[in-house]
Amino acid sequence: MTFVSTLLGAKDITSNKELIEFVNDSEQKRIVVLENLQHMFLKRVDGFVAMKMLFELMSYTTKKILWIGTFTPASWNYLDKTISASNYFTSEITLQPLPYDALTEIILRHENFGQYEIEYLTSEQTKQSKSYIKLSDAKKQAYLEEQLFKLIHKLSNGNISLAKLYWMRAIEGIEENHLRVGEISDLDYSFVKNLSENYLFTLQTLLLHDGLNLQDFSIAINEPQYTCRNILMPMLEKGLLIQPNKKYNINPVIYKHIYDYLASKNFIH
Amino acid sequence: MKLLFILSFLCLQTLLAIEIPEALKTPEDTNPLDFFSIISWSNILWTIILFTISYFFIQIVTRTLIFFAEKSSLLRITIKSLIPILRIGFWTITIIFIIRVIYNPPVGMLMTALASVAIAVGFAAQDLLKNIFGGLMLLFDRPFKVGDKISLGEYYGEVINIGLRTTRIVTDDDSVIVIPNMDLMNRSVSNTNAGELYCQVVAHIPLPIDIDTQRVRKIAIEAAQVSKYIYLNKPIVVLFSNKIYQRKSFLDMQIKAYVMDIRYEFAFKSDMTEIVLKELLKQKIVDKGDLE
Repeated sequence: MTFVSTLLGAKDITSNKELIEFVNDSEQKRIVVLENLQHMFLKRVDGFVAMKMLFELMSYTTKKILWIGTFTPASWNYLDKTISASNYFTSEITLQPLPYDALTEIILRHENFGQYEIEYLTSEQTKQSKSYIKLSDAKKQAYLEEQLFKLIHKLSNGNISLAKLYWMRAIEGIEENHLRVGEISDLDYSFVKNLSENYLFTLQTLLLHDGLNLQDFSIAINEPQYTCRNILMPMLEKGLLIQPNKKYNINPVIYKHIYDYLASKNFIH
Repeated sequence: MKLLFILSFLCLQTLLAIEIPEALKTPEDTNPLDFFSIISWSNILWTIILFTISYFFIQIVTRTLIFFAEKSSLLRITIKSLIPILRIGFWTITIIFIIRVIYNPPVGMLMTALASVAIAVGFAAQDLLKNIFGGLMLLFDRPFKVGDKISLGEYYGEVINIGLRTTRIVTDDDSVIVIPNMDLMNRSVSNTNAGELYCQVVAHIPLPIDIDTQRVRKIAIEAAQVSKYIYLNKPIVVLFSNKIYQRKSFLDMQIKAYVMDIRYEFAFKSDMTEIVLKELLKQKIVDKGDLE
């Protein structure tokens, strides 16, 4: 409530009704973009209150405000099936994976790598491959660049943040204007299928919330905090989770595989 | 399924169409009662070898299918339901192959043998035959599949095997119950999930008669929605009915929701009950005395 009323420039607001009146009484028309709305709910009884209040505000103020909200696909599906989130938006836009060309363009041109002279390094395996050997020296670098970006596109599933992460991993060194980029290898994701039931339920909860801190995780799975720490810490050690700040989240490198596996097991649907 | 029947039919046709070399053929004028004329040590040896090979082959196929079925939740029940059909199909093909290729009896002898066996077995093993026919009917009628949860009388559990004679189910306390197929044919069987991975779970919670049903319904629906076992592609329904116990009237609340995998059926039921009661006590909608 405080966050939204501050955002809209309202003071001394104590209820949603007052905020609605404030917005509708104002002359100003605005566009409000709320990103990562999946963080506004918690999987518990009464955990959708904040979300429902926002939706109420949105539905009563559509003449004055164009509301734009973003969610992760898993959270959106969950919220749509529980509190009918889609009823409050006039249209849904699902972001599609970036195509190969756009992804390459963004990384190479938009990230100021254009000022560098890029040298693509070869592994022993590539040096011995027939398709590489028969190329002229001039075409070898173009071939290596294409192979690298095809693999990055495949591994990142067209997700630009993940693609940048792989690109940064591939960079082996920078000397003045010379950038050396090595090859990256595909990971073996078969371990995902051997994860225990406990881990799968943890991943399901983190996926639906797009990351949780220890306290919220404990509320969401209805277990005491020390039990939750005992679940999360080994997962963090094994690289299944990351904890950039206080929130535990699924390692982006395995995110897509975890998502697919949970969907195949009906944990998300 | 249709494809499987067509394949089995083609296999049988191929077997029956096998041209037996003249040297192996038994003369047509052989006495139909002289069974020993077609039995030799080499035939017995080949029969044992073929049965052994078939046994191991079927075991490998079965285990491979179970391995892949357990890897995929969505296909688990479909793959497992094919196993009994494949097993019976393979054994049928093996037996026909042995009779046709190894023994190759003349038609008269085959008829005599079949008639004798039919009479002997008919008298001696009526129950066995009933079970076998019951098993065949289960495979064709398919009232349930391997992987389904069924209820028969006092037993309730997941079907783990449909054999020719018996069907095995594993109950939730991990006991394996062996049910003769004859019983399954003659009694009413309730199938909880009918081939799907999800199934409906009903949690009953007794409540005081004067409770605020609107608030309780909202809590019950949210309790189901936030459970980690919920399958949200199906509706959640909360029903109240008036019950009397020891001359005292109370409200029986039923929360009907779907679990995402039948294996978590009881965990889901417990989870919903736990969340609802905890929330009702927390919000002081009921007190401990009301629940006693």
